[in-house]
Amino acid sequence: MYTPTTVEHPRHRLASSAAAPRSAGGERLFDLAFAPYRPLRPTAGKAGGDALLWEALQVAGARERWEPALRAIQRGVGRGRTIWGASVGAAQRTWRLRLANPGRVRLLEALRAELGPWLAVAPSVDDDGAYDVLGIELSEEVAARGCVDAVSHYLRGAEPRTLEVWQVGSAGRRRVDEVLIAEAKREINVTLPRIKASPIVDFSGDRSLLGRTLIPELFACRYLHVCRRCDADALVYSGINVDQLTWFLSRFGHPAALVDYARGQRERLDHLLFDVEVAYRQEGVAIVYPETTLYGNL
Amino acid sequence: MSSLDPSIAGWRHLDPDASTVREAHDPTVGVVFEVYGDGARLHDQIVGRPGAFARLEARLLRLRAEDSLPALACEVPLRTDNLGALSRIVDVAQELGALRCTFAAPTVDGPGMAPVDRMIPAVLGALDRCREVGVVGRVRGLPACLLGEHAGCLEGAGDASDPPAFACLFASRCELGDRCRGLPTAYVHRFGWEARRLRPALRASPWPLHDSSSEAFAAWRALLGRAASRVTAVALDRCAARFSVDLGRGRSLVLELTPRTEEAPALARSRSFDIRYTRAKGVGGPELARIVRAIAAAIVARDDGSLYLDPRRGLPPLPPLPSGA
Repeated sequence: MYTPTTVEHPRHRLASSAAAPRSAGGERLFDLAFAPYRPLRPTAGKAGGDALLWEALQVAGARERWEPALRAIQRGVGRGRTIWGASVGAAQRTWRLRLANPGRVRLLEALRAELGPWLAVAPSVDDDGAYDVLGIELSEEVAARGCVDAVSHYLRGAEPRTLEVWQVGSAGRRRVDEVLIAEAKREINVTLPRIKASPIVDFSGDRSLLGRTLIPELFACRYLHVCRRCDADALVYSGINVDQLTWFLSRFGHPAALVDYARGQRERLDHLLFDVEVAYRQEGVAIVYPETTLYGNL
Repeated sequence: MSSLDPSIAGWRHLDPDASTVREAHDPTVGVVFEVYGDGARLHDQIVGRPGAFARLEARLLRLRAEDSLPALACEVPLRTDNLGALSRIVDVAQELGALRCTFAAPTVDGPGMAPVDRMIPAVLGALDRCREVGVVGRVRGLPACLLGEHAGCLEGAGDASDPPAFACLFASRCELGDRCRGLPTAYVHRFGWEARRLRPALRASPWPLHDSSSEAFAAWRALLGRAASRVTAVALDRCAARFSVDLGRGRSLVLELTPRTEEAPALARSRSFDIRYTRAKGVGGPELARIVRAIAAAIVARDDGSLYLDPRRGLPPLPPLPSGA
């Protein structure tokens, strides 16, 4: 007899990835808030959630550098609990990892051991395991130094469905992001005031600004993450399909080869949901996008 | 596109500049022609081809002479430069023989795209004129909530494009959301979401996620047959209907209905649903199998397709109001 593994109403919670439904290929699927979802299509013959990561690394010429370390995380400490991110910004290309820590174990220590052959990870940080998600960023700069100086701690906020993000490193600990997670359409009465109460963008003057920050093609997603950072706001559109993903990659200047890959592999990716992040700030009368990120399951 | 006459099975667009070879006469296919202005001057100016309006008139005359006009409908693309002429365009359309006049907002950005606070008053005036002269008025690509008494004139409820070509901030909070696509995304990029201008008919509750009252979701509860009396709560959204079932003596389970598939694992499949259970407590083995199979059989027997779930399109149907409500 079929034994269901679904968790009722997992939304807005950092769910244990162990509870996530498994696709036919055995891969656990979850979104950026680590809430599980069922694949949209039968998964036989489909690509894994990491396929776009390897292609993005390949296109960026960084696959050789990062794939061994990422594979080690995928097989080891990060197995079934890791989200990867590929950011394109004005300054540089960044590769992000988020590892769920529902048991509040000393995940950083395990990550240090895993990445030891390639990188030192926040050697100055004591690991007490007091975080729900652990985040690190990899870049050319990190590769050159051989060290990740700081890590991110994601903690449940004081309010329901909120997260606080703390950057922890040798310089100490500082809050770098506040995140509200809500259903995109049904809870627009919650997210819209939060988006408009921005210290970064003045929405009171030009009515068109909202259309350039809350992107209509991506609004048809499952959840919105409204992020408030020091120098920019950001929206994460969580749970978009592969067609929306292709539009996003093309619209926000991701490498053409990656766009072509997503378009060409559409049939192998159409069972997945993707999360994309668009950071924005106002410069004069214009909205600029300093960084956009694509997320997927590792 | 809906037909005015039940005998019209479809519509074809007329190209006034196409070859003038005699066209096959199909009495079941109506003809749609586009009019941009209230006369030759404005029409020709907008389409950018001198004599375009005259060619359109001549083409319609010829088709009429050939007895090749089963039904005529007019389409008016809305632009900044013809908004002031919309009511007069209705008269032109009527003179040309149109039975229906559709005002279509642009779906791609261009110099002719106008903000809704300019488009809506002009469109409402034109719809009033349609009513006066006996032409059926239709609107495409504008929000229903701004059309007031003419909201029924909005056509095209579905948006099958991916990514969506239309969007509305209030899509799932508005009573009109199931028959209104909102604004074209190109419009939102240029003029914004118009959050202050839209007049959504907000639902008292956007969707009742949890309701433990015995009256709630009566039609959904009825699916379970005799087991309906043991349902303690129903959680319903577009993706799933979940019934908390108390089996007595500390035994319970959650029965889950999701949209019917052919592939996903399921205990059973009814006409509209895949049926599963989860969170079984105090019961297992053959007893659990017997109970859930009996409930599943009841659902399969009662599911006539009138209740359904769809994670992408619209909301599931609400239970009918109690009689006398």
